Amino acid sequence: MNILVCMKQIIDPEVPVRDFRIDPVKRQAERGSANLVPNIFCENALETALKLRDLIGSSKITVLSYGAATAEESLRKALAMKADAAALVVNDGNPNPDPLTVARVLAAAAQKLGGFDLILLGREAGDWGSGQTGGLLAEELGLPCIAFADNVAAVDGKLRVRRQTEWGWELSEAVPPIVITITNCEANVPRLPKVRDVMMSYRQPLTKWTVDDLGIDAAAARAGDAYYEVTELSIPQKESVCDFVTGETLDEQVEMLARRLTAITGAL
Amino acid sequence: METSVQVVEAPVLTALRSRVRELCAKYPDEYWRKIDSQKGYPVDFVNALTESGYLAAMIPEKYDGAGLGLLESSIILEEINRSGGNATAAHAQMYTMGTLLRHGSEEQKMRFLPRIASGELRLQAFGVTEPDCGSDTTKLKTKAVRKGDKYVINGQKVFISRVQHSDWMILLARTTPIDQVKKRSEGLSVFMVDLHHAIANGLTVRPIPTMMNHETNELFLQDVEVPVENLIGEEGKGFKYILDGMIAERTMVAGEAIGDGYWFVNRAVKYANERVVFDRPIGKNQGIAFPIAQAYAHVRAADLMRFDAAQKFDAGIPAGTEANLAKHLAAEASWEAADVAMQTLGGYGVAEEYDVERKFRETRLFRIAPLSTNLILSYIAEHVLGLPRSY
Repeated sequence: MNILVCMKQIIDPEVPVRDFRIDPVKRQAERGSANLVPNIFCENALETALKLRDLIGSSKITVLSYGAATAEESLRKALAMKADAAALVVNDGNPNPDPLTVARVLAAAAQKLGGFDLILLGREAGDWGSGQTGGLLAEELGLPCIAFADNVAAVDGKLRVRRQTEWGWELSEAVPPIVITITNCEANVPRLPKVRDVMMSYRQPLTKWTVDDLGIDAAAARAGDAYYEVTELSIPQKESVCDFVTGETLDEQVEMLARRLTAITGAL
Repeated sequence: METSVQVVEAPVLTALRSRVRELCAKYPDEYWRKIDSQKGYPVDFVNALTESGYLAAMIPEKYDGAGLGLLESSIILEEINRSGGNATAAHAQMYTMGTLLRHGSEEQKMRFLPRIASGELRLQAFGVTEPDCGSDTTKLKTKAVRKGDKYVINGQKVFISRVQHSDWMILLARTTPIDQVKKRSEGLSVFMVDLHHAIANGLTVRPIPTMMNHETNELFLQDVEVPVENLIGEEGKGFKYILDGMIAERTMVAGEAIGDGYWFVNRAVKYANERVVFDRPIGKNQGIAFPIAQAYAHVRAADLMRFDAAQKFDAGIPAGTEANLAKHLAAEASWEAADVAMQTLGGYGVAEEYDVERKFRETRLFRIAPLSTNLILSYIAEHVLGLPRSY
């Protein structure tokens, strides 16, 4: 099976709150001293692919990213986790392109790489969290899409996909090729690469393109605003108010507390 | 000509740091605090390091290791300590095998190294120091006498670490009496000792409680038999064999101290930014900020010396001076940073839940072991600066 896993590099979501800043003019987060890391849901997708390969054997896993030159680090990590090949489309335009732009670039790169049976993405990215790239990529490629899956198995030439829903799991069977977005579960916690593979990953070839190499509207891709535009960005301000509940007896205090809570929740 | 220090870290080293950090993140402060309070051994953490191959970093790929250099290895240890952990529990698994690797026969290497790389065999005890000769190694009294196809060993060792968590130990013993050799550094030999067999046949292990969670022991050897095939290299040349392993050991320990130093600085900075007294963070006071900045400067300087030592060692350039300087500077810098962190946190510094007191106890060891500050200064004075020998 030929598997493609799309990966996004993001600012580490674990950065301390006090260190998190945004640039209101550029309408984007400032990196500051934060690390750049692979989006965790993309790593869940890669782990899903690796486990599938462990089960069925004779599969090739390619990882693909559209991002800054630094995204190479995330792809090298994927190679250390034992992906077979990696390709990076270097984004030298809008550093935060909208999901439709990303989907178009990924679709063109996937077609250039060629012949995938299964395309996996994270359910959303830990920075913007829009959760749209997977569906839009399927649309661009003319493929079906299953979202929020946490398990993919190969059964009789088909893929059996388990999808998380609000009321439980849905089991689907699909004939490849297909796009699946992956959410996290206990079974797809990313594996820790072995130190030898970490070092080897920097000796492996890594394909690099720009949007000029993909036969798409490069100017539109660099503009990155085909779909939506961020008009304002701010950090929510939290306000804490201390409100003492009074009463002569415990019963009175409880009653006052209940009234106060009713008033607050009613206002919400 | 001096080899320049690589100031900008290669991307692969940065990636290596990130991968070690990810592993260490699974073992947070609470894990180490609990292990410390129980005086336990970090079994899960050491197993995770083993599975990911970090403890086999310096074993060549030919013997199923990662084939990395001293620089990468010291960075691995730095990151463990920088995360709040304590690499001392397992660091010797990385470098004790160096004596075997450099001086053992091919048969011995094939016999031991792949199993050390997989973690099946733990070789992290190094039996050198004795009650009557700490750093004056050539005066050690433990004797190994050849009888047929065996050596029979009698004597006593002290401060031998990780014996209870090792399967094998490398042991230095005198095979030719000191009055029968031209130089007192001659006549010492190195042996691979099967600890399980030895403990059942004449080796007594007496644990020494210490102020930090570090397993170290007194050993009593009474007619412990070691097969001749477990002699490493040539009989009588053991002292030379262990000396060249000390360069690696010191540089790796420097990495750990540097990791501690960064940890203390980070904790001090965090607290100084968050702790508000008299309506402002205490870090606004230069009395708080300057000592932290000074400690950071010293950790960074030690870090550069560590790079210098490791890169020279990896390039095959003599690095004894640099390894000693790196270990000395790193131990002093981490101790300074520890004291600064303790002072910055005030009362919370001694509270166990803030972890500074634990790391404070741990990092103090680096000024004593594996070599005391005084002996390093003696080495620098005599061998680097040409001053008269002081002992």
